[in-house]
Amino acid sequence: MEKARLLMKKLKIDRMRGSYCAALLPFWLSALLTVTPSSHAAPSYNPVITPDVGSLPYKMVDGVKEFHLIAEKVKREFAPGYVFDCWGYNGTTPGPTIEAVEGDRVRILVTNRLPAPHAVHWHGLFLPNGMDGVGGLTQSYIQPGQTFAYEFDLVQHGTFFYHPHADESVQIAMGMEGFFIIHPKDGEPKKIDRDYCIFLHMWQIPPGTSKPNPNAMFDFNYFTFNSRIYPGTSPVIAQKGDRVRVRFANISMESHPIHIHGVSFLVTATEGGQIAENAQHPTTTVNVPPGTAKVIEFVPEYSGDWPFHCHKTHHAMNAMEHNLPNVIGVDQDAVEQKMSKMIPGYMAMGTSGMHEMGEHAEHMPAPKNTPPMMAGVGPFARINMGGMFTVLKVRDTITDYDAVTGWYEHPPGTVAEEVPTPE
Amino acid sequence: MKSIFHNSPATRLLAHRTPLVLGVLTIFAVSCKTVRHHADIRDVGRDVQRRVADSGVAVKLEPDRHLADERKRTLDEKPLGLRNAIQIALLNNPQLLQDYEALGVERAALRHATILRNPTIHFDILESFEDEESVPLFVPGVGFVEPDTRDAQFHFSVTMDFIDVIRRHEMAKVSRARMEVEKMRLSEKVIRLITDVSIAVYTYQGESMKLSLMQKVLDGVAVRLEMALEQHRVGNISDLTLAGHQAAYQDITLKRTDQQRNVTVARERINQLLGFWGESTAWSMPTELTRPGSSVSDESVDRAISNSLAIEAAMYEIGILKRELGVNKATIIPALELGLIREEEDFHIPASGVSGALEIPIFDRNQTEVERYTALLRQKEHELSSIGIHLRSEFRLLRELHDELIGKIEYYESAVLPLKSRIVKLSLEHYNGMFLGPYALLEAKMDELRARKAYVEILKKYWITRAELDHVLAGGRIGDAAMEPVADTAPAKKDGHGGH
Repeated sequence: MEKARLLMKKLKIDRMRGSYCAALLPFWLSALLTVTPSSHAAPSYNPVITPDVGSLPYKMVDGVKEFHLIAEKVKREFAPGYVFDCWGYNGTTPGPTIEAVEGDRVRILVTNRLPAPHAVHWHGLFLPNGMDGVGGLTQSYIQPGQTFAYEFDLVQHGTFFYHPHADESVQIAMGMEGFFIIHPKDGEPKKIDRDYCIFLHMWQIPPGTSKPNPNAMFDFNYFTFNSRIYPGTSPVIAQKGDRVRVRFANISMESHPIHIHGVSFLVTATEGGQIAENAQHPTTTVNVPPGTAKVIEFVPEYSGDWPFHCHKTHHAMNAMEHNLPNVIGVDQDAVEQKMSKMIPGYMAMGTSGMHEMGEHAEHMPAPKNTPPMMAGVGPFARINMGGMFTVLKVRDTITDYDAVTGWYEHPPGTVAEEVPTPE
Repeated sequence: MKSIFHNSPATRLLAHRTPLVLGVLTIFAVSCKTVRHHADIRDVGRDVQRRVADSGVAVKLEPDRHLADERKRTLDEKPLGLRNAIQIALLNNPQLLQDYEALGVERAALRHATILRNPTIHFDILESFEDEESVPLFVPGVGFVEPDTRDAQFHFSVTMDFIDVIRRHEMAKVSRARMEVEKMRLSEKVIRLITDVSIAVYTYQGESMKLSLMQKVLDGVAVRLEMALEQHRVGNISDLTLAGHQAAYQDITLKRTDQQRNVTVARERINQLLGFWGESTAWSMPTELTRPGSSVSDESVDRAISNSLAIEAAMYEIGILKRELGVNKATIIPALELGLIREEEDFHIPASGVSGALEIPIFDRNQTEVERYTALLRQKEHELSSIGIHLRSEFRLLRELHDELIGKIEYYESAVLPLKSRIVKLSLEHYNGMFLGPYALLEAKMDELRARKAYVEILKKYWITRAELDHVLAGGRIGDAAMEPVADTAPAKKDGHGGH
């Protein structure tokens, strides 16, 4: 394994982009057979990008694509410096994306390294009933330490996902989920330049702690794209004119209306299959309810740094208490003086909203392992966002997508500026 | 008819010098009595000083009012603290001044016991009434006699109860023992006064500290209300929510008033014990209870027993009863009167002799008194045994309570209070991150204040217990207050509506 890892590093294989050029080098082929997500030849599909996660490697065994999922405890860094104790697969939450092609026979070995019984359901897939992964109903539970094999033919293509069907409310709340992408055997009808997978999730992790509370039914305080919160989320990058596909999946307790600035898109598919072209309609916001996947496609025409976020306002924020007293408009000067005598260090907040929170967070002590409610610094000022927020970076030309990191440079005269207030 | 005393030298002396003699005798008697009385009280003072030596309190009992007032004026000039409060009380406590007189009463009883009973003089002067029929006359000590047919008769006799003379020596010993018991009682009262003053001072200090903390809680609730009023003014909270905040403020205001009352009561208790009135009630005192003192060893119970004035007094009383029982057993002849008699007839023929009267113990041989004193003796012996058992048990309870309270104080200081402060600090951090609102932050602060109030209550209880323990070690009896069950010493719950 170590040897293979070093080889991959040497070849600069970019797993996220799926550019497995190693397959072009017969010399290394035999060494890589058992460890890369590739088959004997270059993939017949354009691999998806699952930001901050990646795809699951497989090996060919007697003509069957064999994947190995390991259900285990994972440490997930939601944003730089903030690490939480979650459950997931193969060291990450969401688990790595399983990619295969329609018509493939797949074998998925699931090893349970959790302290609890487990079973994996393949959401949306047509398969033998005994492979559906419902603990107790269609199979025995995978006890801790056991490995079960799921093996079936892929008879459809599209966007699917996997998640536990054993003690779901706990195991899903702890972060166990992942994409299952089946590429069409005949290729995409339209070339997809950038194919992103983003799993939507929400958590209740009390401030100052590191473990999600699976008992929560309400009052979630972290809202994540691929289990990352802004400013820890990776941007979605596209060149002007690229055909971009974004696949969303959601098995959290609420729906998430995802809104993208700067583009209009079509909802082209769900986890149930492709939407007929004549049924697709343009929109800038797609609502992703629990238990569904929504696939959108667009071709950006306007360069810039465009917000990409859930439009439930509190979902684009990090942890905060929702039962705080409403002090909007409350003159707190007198109270602040008295309070600071009783509690040195007290500072009145909230009279004009939460705008100052990002700045306060820099110099006021806060609970450990708890990111500020709003964070992120933009080219002009603090961005005051968090949670389900990232940026769609559209550039006129891109030679290296990984190199697109800086802020958009606005052409002169295209940025709103202060002007005299009309009388 | 002439009196036999007419124109005698003694009569003449008395007639001319009576006022002078009586005056000299009275002054002598009074001064002797006063000197002895003051000496008795100072004896008690020395005894108490020995008993409370460890506490560092200077016990100076001063029965002389002039000297006492002089000394009190000196003390009044110093700031009032525990030690000079005790000294002032010892000089000025009105009850103690009353108690001094009990010693005077017992001293008088002792003096009375040492004085012989007065002799009895009997005399008859009889004149003859020849014209009338002769009627027998009753002559005390002689009986009925036929009236003399002579012109006149004079009978004179002096008698004393000689059994009383014999008993007087024993009864004087009994009285001296009673005097000692009375001194012990006074010692006990002085020790009790010292303890009561200590308790009153600790109570005042503790209640004052609690009042200060209560005021801070009220300040916190006032800030909470102020915030709520502002929220209400700009339309952020309902009338109902505001009313909740107002009710909480009222509740704490009333509780603060109750606490003020506790301070006033404690202050008045000091005034009573120190005999303060008028301008002297305007004293001030540091309102800070210090940390606990040293612990008390298991062996201290022996000291408590050996010093116990109740046990010592009971032993004295047993001795008294034994002596009284002995006297009663020895009194076979209840009464024997002996005397001299002189008789004259017609004032010409005198006759002298001896008279006597003896009660014959045929029926009453004093057996009931013997039975009574035997029973009283047994009763007192049982009482002595009971005092010992109870004293040991109660001392153990008191010592355990004392140690428990030290443990609680240390727990509060090392764990509870630092944690409460840490909760405030963490709450501020959560407030900074908008995970807590200002009301919850204030509530954490008030919770800390309530914990401090509970700590002060324990500290106060400790010092009261310590005073009772020192009281017992000095020989006093255990007070009821120390034996009361300890109230819940956990930090109190929040005082009112938290709101948010």
